[in-house]
Amino acid sequence: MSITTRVTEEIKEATIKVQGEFNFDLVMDLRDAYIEPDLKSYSITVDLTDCTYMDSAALGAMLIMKSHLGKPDGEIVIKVADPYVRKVLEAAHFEIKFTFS
Amino acid sequence: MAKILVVDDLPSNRLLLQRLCEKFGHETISAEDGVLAVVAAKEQSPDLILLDISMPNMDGYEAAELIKAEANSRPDDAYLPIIFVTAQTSDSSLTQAIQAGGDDFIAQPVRAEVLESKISAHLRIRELNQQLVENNRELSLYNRRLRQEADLIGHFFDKALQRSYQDPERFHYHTSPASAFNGDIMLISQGPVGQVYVLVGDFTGHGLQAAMGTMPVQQAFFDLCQQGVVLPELVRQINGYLHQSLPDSMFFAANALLFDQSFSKVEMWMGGMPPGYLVSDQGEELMSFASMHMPLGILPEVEFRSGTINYDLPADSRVYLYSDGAIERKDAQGNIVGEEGLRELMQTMPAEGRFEKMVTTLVSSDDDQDQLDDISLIEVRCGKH
Repeated sequence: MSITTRVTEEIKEATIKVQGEFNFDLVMDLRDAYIEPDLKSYSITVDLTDCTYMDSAALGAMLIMKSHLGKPDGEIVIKVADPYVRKVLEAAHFEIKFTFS
Repeated sequence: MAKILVVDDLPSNRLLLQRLCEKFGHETISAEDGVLAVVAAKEQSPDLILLDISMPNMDGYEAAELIKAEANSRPDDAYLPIIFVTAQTSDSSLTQAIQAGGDDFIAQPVRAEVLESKISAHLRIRELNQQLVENNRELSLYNRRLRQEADLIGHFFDKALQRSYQDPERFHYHTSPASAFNGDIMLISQGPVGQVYVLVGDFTGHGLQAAMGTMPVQQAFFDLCQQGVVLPELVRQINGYLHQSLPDSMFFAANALLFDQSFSKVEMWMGGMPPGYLVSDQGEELMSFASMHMPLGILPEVEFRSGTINYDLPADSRVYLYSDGAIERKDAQGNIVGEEGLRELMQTMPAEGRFEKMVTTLVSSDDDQDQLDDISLIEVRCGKH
């Protein structure tokens, strides 16, 4: 499991990619991904297409990220592929705060 | 500066070694044979011992064994180095020296530089060892204090849970925390006109961090139920409280239910929990209840949605709700194994004994791995009885 960030400076876009199991162990890594460099002025995509598991600590970390970056509801895009991860996000009704694609 | 015990039956040898040690900056004491060495080691607690082998009364081997045994029996047992000083350098006498508990040896005639470096090397090990012993002692003290505190907190939790409404005919429930503290909540309370409230929920994470949130929720729940508030108001109040007091990273997935007095109707608010089920006594899945809202504690008052849904409950049916702790493992298709397993049990087991079977399945499905999260399961028997 790992988190990697790809930043496209010219168009102010950043993609944070989470691979493997997204749980408590990655919470601090996610934080590092948007604090250094500071991604406040970027449009953010969280790419979970290679993420196979997500727990409540990970959901909490996503909420912190959103509030830290000051993004309005629906502006951060989450890419989901895994049916289990989708189930977790849907049960918590994250579509209220994020856009799924 | 260390205290060094010099043991030799020859006064000239003793004197030479003592002089050298003092030159290196250490304090010295001395003994003339093995018996006196054992006494001195016990009474004067040296940091290191230079020990001759051939001596009257008791030789160095025997003395070393006794000294080590005594040192090991002390509560502040730290490494006490014994260096044999000997003219015998045959392999067999060295082996015997080490077997007797010696840590090193130095050949006669003694060379000052060799003696000095051996002494300082062994004293360094002793110092590290003393530090380790001290750290261990502090750690075990700390550990004991922590356990006492855990017991105390556990007591508060148990007391609070005893406020739950008891009706063993209606309610079967099981909770097993992943650690000493439970971040899951399972509360039942009877309202002023006989209606019954149920709150089943799960705080982010587990252990003490998660359990911290449960205390105020319990308090709020029982108070609100006593006032007989409507269900949307109950969840709105708890959400408001949690939104104010919880850190952003924490929330409370919960199912809140309100049964009428005859258990023929239920009103539900479901936020962030796995689906619940209504199953007939014959094993037919009559309904599944999916999460309708975000968990409690995330949304500010203005955004909070308190919408509930009402269901009629057939007489011979049961409601099942559980937290996600037991069911998080999944198969290759992305289906949650535990969830499918529980559904299958609900549909194949007769009503009697079904719940017990579900509990054993939940607990044993965790055989091959440590329980990672708190587990809760509840069965509510519907209809008059």
